[in-house]
Amino acid sequence: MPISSDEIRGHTETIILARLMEGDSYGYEIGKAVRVLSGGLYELKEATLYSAFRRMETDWLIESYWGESEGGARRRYYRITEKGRQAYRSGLESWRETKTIIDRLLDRGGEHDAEKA
Amino acid sequence: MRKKLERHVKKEFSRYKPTAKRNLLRAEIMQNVSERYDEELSAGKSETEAFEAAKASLGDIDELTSSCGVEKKQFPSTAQWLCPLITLGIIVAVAMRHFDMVRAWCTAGVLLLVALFSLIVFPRTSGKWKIVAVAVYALICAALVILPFILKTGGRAPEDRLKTLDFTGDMEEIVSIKLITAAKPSDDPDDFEYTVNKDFPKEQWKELLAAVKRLEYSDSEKTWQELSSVSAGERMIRIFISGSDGSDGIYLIRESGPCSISSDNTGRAVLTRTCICDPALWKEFIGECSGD
Repeated sequence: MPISSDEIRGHTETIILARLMEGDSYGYEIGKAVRVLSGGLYELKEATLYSAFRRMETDWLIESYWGESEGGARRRYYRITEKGRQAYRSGLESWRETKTIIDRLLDRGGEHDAEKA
Repeated sequence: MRKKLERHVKKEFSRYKPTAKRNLLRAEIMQNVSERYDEELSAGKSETEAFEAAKASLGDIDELTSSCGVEKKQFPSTAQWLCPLITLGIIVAVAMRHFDMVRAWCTAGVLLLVALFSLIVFPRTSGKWKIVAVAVYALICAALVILPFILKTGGRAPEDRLKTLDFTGDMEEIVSIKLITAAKPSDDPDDFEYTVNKDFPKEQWKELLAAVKRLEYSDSEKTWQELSSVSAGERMIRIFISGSDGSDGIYLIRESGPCSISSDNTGRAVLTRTCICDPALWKEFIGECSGD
């Protein structure tokens, strides 16, 4: 079942930083990686992606530079900064805490559902 | 389909102000969307399916407005369209009332430019600069409305602003005289009084006033004829004379003479009625004007 953007909205930047932790990349490649890793269940739209890029550049979490693509055309690449690495670790920790809380909150309902069934 | 995709992306971005930022962002996203299209084609999708997938990957471009410094174009609201047009309509009506057609259309053209200027400037300003722009626009419009009343002149035909003195005497040649001269000089060379400068060559004086004839009555010829000469330093006034034979013309007569010249409340020079109603006096008056 596809995941709505509302559920992941608060973690978009952490997701992008996670990709950049693996190495410099560009917009399309990051979007494709997210799509593939989520098994097609989640897609980062271009507008969301570039909106996040600009915010993270403003906050010095990432920086961009012009490089060449395979076809020889210019392409903008992004690399993570040290501050970005810290933000990634912080975002990852935040997600784990959120996941734990939500699991606890929702599992109780699941138990009752199973009992009734 | 690739061209269609490009057009779609361009269209999505056309709602935003054409800046370098916008163009760079558009180019980058266009690259990504194009690669997505190629990926879908490689995966075996049809061109239409690949196009739809690539198009869907674009998302809502409005998300970019705040974070990416891309600003939406602002179109004038209805009020902003109406204000200049209504003002333009009023001012054209006023201008046509006071100016001749050529000047009225020139005025309308200038005002149209002012209205277009306001439509472009107003949406781009905000805060105190919008107030400044509105104030400048209002001042220009107010000045243009008031201008005809201040000038009280224009290119209108002299007859419309004249004080008509009807002559009811039995002189055959003259049926009416219209004073078209005021005491104060004007920018309009066809009107008002002239002072012949001492250094002003008579030949040039004649050329400039080619439509103006200097009048003198010839006893022998029993006709009105042109004055043969004028003296330097004289103040001349113009009058428009209609002849009983249907002829008419604009003539110069000397201010000094048997008739009295006075100013009315508006400062305009006025020929007294009694002077010109009496043919004999008129003839005498004209006779004094002729020749030195």
